[in-house]
Amino acid sequence: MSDESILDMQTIDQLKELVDDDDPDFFVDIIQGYIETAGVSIKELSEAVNSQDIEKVASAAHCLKGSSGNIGAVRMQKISYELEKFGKKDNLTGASELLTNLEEEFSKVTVVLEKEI
Amino acid sequence: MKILIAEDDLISRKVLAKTLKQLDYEVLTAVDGLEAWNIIQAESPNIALLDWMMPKMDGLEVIKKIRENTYDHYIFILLLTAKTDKDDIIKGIETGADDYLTKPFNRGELLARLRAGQRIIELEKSLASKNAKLSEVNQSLANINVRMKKDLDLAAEIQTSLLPHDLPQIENVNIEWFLKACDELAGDILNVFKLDETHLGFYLLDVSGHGVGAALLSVTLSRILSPLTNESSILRKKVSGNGAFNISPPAEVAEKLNNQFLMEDESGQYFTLIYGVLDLETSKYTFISAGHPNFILFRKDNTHIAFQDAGLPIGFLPDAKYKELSVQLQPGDRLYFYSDGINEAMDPENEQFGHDRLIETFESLQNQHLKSCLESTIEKVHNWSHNKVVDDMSILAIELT
Repeated sequence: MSDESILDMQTIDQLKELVDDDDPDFFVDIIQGYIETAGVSIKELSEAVNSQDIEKVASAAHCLKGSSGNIGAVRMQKISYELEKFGKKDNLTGASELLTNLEEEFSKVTVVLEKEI
Repeated sequence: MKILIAEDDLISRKVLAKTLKQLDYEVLTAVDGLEAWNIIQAESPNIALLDWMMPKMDGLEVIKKIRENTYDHYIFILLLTAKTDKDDIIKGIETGADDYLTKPFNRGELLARLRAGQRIIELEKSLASKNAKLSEVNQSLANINVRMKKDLDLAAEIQTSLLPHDLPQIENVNIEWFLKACDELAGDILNVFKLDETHLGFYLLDVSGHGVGAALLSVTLSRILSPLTNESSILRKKVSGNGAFNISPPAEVAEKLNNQFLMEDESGQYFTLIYGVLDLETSKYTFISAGHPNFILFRKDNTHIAFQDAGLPIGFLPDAKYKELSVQLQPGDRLYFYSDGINEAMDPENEQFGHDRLIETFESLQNQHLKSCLESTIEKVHNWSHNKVVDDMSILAIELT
């Protein structure tokens, strides 16, 4: 699997373009911020799946979907969306498999992102 | 341009903020709906970018609150939503969002929508400034109106003060008059005065047109047509030595006025005048009529004479000559002078009251006191025109008893 499918490079380039003299660390901050917050969200998700808290699963997945979309982590975004949809269901059947996928994907994304900064 | 970004997701907020700062927007950020609402109240931004799902207060609630309040400018609301459900977008716009943007946002789309928002803001701003200018102009017009009304009222007061409120008290002579201006000011004016112990002078004049222009001339004429105390005037000349006056013949008065008030092209003003002198010893009435509608003499035996010999109005032609007429009055005679506002008063079908109806009216009221006769006549004319006054109306009545 190539880096590109893990990360949309066009989005990454756009983020790099936002770097200017006022804020030279903008890109680095964003990426580091993402890795940090996404890590927190995944932890929350995993706790919520374990405690069968559907509402919390949906809201944490919603957050992760948004920020993943912003940095171009398209597959993270998709899996998050699938998890968010549990908010409209009455059980979490299949959620832990998705969570595992998400965690694997996140490690890949982190590797690629760290190469970028 | 001040823009608020309300977005709970740190990354989205940072990317949006950075993007907009680079476009020279003044960027404010809020991490939840409540903070967004507080910033809106404190800063009233021009544009609010509101995330739909936020902690503490969601985007819809913030929109509702913005639209319930009034600001000195329009706040353009762009709703940020991950939702792709059309019903939700409709709901957002119905609540008061101007536009929406789905997340993750496309930079070009964001900029295009913001530019559209800015166009609306500019339009609203220019409309607001035009409205402000308009209400400023309205206010100054209202002020001018108040001032003009005050001026007109003052002018009307001055004009009214020139009317004969203290009538000369003469044995065997009753005098009554009526004058009503169709605007604040009248072009009609009349007066009655003693020229000396044995002569009573009176006139009624009607300046062409009405309103301020006519009133200015009528006031001037009223000043001129006045027997000044102890001084010569157009009406009488002081005889040197004994303090007596030589009374000017009415024709001479008219001819002098004609040369003094010759109509100039610009103003086109002229006036009709009936002026006469009553010799109180002989009861001989000598008068001129300058373009005036007739006057009517009613005798005790209920016969009447309508004098219709009208010369040229004053100011019409240079060196116009006026023919003086005399009539021997008898006890019981009544003289009625009136301006055309009386006989030309129109009913709703545009029929004039007319001389004949006026004569009939005077005739039927001949046995009443002069005062009540005049009042009844005025009432009848007013009833005829349904109280619609389109020209100045004046009547002067003199009775020998």
